[in-house]
Amino acid sequence: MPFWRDIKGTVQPFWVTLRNMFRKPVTVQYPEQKQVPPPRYRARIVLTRDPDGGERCVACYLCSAACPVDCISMQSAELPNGRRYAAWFRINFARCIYCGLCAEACPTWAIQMSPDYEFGKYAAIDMVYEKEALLVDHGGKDTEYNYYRHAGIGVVNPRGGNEDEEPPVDVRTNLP
Amino acid sequence: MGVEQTLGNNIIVTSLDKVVNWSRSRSMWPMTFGLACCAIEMMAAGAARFDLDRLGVLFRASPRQADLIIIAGTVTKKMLPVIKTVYEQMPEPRYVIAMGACACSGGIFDTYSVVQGIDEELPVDVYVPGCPPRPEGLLYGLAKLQEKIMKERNSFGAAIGIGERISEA
Repeated sequence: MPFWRDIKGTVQPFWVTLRNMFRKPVTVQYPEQKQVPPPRYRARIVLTRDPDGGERCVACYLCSAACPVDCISMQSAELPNGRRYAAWFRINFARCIYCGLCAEACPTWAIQMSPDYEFGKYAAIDMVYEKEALLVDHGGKDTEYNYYRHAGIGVVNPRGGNEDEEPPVDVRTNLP
Repeated sequence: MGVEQTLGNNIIVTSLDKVVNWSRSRSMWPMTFGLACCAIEMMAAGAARFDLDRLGVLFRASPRQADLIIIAGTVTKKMLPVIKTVYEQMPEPRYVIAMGACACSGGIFDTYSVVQGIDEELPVDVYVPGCPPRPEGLLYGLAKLQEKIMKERNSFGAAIGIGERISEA
């Protein structure tokens, strides 16, 4: 019956409004009340350090190769003890799309995504972060990992001297 | 004309400037203008959960009533004349926020058809990079713009036609 249908259609919206008047507000009072993003949230990129305080980055260029927008650039260099590092490391956050492919490509857990989503600058050049601004004083998501304790040919430990490595085989002993 | 010709820096003028700056920064009305996926986050920032209205940011559908344009998304070369027309129709003082990687620098669209950053054409006040930025990121950018407006000098003098606004980032 159209009459009862119209009555229902008139009363029901009032009921919806009345019901929602006593609901808790959903608004997050942002600057005072900040949401904590999930730990795997992808925002500003950081360069982490290993537990000994050294830079994890070995300047292998894998992150800049994986980057779909080519916003990462660096120059590799080598210390006298054979340890590689980035002479300069630059991320253009104006281009960065926070896809996390650089963090996935990194073999040493150096480049990681941090959940720091508050990012706004007055000038475009301020969005280009150099290595000093990118480096943080913690290990990020894996605080225990140190690349040179597991690999890295004779840089920290002698060759084959790491705990999960076997000493190098003298190939001449395998000859018949 | 002339930047140097201002009302001066005495306490009456600076107090009036402060009142003008306060009223401008607490009622930034942005132009309703979305370009791409960043516009979705801009709408989310305007909706109930993040609620731009409590900061005095009300979206206006006419550039004549807008103080601010949020370039939310990819600016193609075909859309650029439209954006410039809308920007030119906005009354002074007008502000520009570049929201998202595409508006800041072109983002992933390093191609022939996309403007490599809206700052090639419009004077951008605040850049909010991200792909897209969270609604909180946009709110943070708006707070940065409020700070910038609060630091402007001679805004009262410019409002009555003496000198120009002096803005320091």
